[in-house]
Amino acid sequence: MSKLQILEFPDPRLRTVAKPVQTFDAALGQLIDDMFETMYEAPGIGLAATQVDVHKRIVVIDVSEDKSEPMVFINPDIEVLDGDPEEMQEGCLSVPGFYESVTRIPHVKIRAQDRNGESYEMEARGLLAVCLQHEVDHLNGKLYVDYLSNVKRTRIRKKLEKQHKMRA
Amino acid sequence: MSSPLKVIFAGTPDFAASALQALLDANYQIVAVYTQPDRPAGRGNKLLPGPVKQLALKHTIPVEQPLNFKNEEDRQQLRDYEADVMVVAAYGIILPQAVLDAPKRGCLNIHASLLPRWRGAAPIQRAIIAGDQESGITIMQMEAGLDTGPMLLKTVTPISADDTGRTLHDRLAQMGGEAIVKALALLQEDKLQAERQQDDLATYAHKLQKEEARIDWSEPASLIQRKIAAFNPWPVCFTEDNGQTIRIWAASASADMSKAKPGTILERSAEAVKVACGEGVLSITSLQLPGGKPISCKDLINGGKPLMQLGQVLEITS
Repeated sequence: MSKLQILEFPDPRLRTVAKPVQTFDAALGQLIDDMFETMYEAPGIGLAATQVDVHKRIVVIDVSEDKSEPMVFINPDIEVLDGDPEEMQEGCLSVPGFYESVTRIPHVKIRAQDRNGESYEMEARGLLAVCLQHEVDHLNGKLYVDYLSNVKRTRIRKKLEKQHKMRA
Repeated sequence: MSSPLKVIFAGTPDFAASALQALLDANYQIVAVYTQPDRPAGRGNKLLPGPVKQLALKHTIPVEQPLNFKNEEDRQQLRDYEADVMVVAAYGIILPQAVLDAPKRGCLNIHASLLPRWRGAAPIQRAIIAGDQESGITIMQMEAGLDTGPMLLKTVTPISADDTGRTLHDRLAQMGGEAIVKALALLQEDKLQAERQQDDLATYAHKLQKEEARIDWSEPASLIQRKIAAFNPWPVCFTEDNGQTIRIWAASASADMSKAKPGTILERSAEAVKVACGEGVLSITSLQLPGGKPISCKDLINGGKPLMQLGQVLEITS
């Protein structure tokens, strides 16, 4: 197990569209384990492979209180179902320290494969549904800050760039 | 996605409900609401949920109402929510250290004064009585002492001549909500800077007592006027005329001089009832007779009740 480096906005690599996973092997299993470790360490409730600079369609999520419900979604296909749009404060491990309200419909159907390549389907509501949409956005090169006003996005970008400079 | 900030809210009256509403409007995740046990209220002494509880129920947030935090069960229950932070506004229960330490980032208090001035229970009214020029909100990191914790954020509002306990309360309630939303945003970015209070500047705002609202006519008119403003809408200043309680809702102090005995009614017109004080004269503009509602002096005269008559001396308490 090893902890991976998380890319931070505005890194252009976060804009890469990830490719489908074809091979389900030990190396994939290792990557998934490393992604879980990285996510729990952060601490976060969801991580997309894009964020650790691996451009494959893999998402790991655990929205439980006690890290007891790890879920893996490979090649996820998400469908937003009917429901009332709700605003929720979202934050992102690639946009550390910022939280902003994003409106989404917290009700989705998702088809994906597990780590062995087995296909499955599930419906999700609430935080899990929001998190799934947030992570699948990553696989398509999209970040939650894209839903904000230009003013807010620019403010966040400038603050993070400043932090990156100070660390460099 | 990073974990959303998990907030517990603790508060009881309207002042607290404003803050909770502001947090809900800003889409914070409120995992539980703590509020004092329901108290008998209104006619028939039915147990009525307070404004905070009503708001929490409306948003289907779990409500907890422990009597205090003396038993381990209540403390464990609080820990089980695994909150990042607890926001406390006019909760009315002393929080022991074990409670302050339960949330990862401790407890933030919304206090209705510019600390260290007016620590304690009734900061809004005490500021008006003292004739303070300004009041405000202090967001404070709570410690075990009475409002002694480090200050994180302050917002200021001037106190105007026509402010009453109600108007200042309502304004501060609104400001309290804005301030806590701002403070939590800064907390999430790790940008809150704590400033220790200068304890030697501290003053204490003791709880309001009904008996304090009894007018002592030997006091200066300006002080009596500030008390009338501060004690509106509760407990409401009152005086006695031949054993009947008269509540005074609004008045102004004039610099008129009078050699009459304090408490003497000097004038009775549709504009005002003027009463001699220890210093200066008080012009009462709104009052309430026993069993009635607040009325103007014009209504007093038209009502024809033989109360507050010219030359009458109202009870004086000193």
